[in-house]
Amino acid sequence: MVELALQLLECQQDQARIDTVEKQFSKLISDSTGQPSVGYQGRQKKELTDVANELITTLADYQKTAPSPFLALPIHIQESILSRVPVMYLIRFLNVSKDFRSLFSLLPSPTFPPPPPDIFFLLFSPYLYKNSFRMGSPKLLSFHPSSSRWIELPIPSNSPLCHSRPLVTSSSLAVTKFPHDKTLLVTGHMFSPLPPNKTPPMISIGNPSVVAVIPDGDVTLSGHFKIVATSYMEAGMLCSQVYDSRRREWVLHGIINCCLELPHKAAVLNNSLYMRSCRPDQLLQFDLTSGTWNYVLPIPECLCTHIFSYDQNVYLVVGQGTRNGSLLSIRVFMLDWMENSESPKWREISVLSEKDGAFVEFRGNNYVMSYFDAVDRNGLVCLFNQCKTVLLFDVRNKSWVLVPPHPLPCDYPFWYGHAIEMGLEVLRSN
Amino acid sequence: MARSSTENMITLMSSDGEEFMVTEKVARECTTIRNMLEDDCVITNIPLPNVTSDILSMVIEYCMEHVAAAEKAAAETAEKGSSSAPAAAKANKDLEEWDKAFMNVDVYTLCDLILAANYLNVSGLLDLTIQTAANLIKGKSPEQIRKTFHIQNDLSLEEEEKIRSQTPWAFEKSE
Repeated sequence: MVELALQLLECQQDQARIDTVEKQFSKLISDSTGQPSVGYQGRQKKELTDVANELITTLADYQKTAPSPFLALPIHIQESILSRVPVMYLIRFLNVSKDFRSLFSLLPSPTFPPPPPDIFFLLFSPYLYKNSFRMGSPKLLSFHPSSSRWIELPIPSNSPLCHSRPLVTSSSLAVTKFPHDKTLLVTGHMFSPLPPNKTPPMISIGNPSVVAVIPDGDVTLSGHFKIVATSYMEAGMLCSQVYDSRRREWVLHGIINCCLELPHKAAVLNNSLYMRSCRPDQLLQFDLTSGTWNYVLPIPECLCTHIFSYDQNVYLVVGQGTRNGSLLSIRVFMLDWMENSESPKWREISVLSEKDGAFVEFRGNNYVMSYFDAVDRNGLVCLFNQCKTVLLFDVRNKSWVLVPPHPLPCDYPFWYGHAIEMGLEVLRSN
Repeated sequence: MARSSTENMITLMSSDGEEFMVTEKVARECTTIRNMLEDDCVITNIPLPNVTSDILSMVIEYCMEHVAAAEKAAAETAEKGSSSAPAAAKANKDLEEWDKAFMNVDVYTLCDLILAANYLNVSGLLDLTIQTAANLIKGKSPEQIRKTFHIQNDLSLEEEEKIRSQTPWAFEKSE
């Protein structure tokens, strides 16, 4: 509005322009102040200068006292607008004004729909091992897809995650292990206010290794979860034990003749874990309800895999290449249960090959890449390896995007390799 | 031609007394009006004391565009026996473009449209306007948000600095 008034001042020489601007101006005043506009038509040009100046003052006064159009909206509408804004941007709201700050003071509010998950792929921990204790502020380097930036996230110095990499994580939990001990420490992820929760020692069979932590619904509300660990017995038999936080005990469940792929990673879907067995090369399913392991179907021939679940489906990302281990393509398959059929199939949904620029840039031109690792959350898969490049696959629109290069030296070996979803608890803690 | 003459016309009256004649089909896009019509089918003149003429004309424009798009899609399906996927995708994209252009308004108008869409219960328009408001917030600095929504900063420097130092990563500049 002030801009319009200034225009009015500028264009005194041109009667036609004055008329147009003046018309817009009167309308704006009557719209925004609810006062009927005064007709300025027919006044002398020089009078207009005074009028415009007067209007600028009035409008400035008015804008000082007028409520923001946002705050004038009903609370439930404000909440539904904010629920569509990623949490990182909501934090900025705390520094807008007192009124905006108070929007979050009522959290958790039953009417506030949870905002979209704001994912951070925690890829590197440059300061975690080397300098953290000296520097006093351990940080992780993460990639933030919603702003397409690399962001350094601090880990609170009292967090167990400060001392060791988590073994497994879920959307809200991280599991770490005490050295030389079979006791596990379950914590909220780095921004969660959950206090650490210590489990009893795992059952001593072989050398148990944690494969998954499964939150029981919204863990910030229920506070409950399950953990699955596996170990090898004699003759290559794999056995598993499950910890249920409701019962606070480890129970042995399930046995199968196989050798799991390393590192141990599992996709969780409908109370089942999906993992890769290398010998035989099969997709394995562990049913948490019955405590049984099953072979589902063979894994396509490949150099490396990543299994993930999204929206009621299990997906498999494979890196395929030559026998001597040079990567030639990345394929994504969906597990297709084939309507009432007992034998599921892999259905290819996307492929990235040497024809694609993103693939060539990801692998580099020297053909040495034979392996990649991946983290996923909410249908977004982040593929990385020891090189500078990181590749994102979005299962929702089957798109591949090469992310901007990370700011660390190329040979930085400090992998973290987990993902977190930032929720409203970040705001609550402020 | 014959269609329009047999179709029921409804008069909507804005808070400032302006009358808008629309077809019943367009009026029914507003769930609030649809409910009124279903409760009392002879009603032809509906006063809307919460909506100004400027905003009401925009709501009607939105409803007419969406009714026309739906009718066009239905007609094409009827003509060809089945809807062709590329044509439907193009129509959807056109409508999205139209929505996008329609949302090119100042923040006061946007908030008035949200209130009108909420009051008249036009779910598509409510969703569109709320998403537009959310997009205005995404990626903005606190200063930019203040400017966008005409907000006075009443926080002390210490109060601002406290949040900044607790979550510095949230305040890094977007490129």
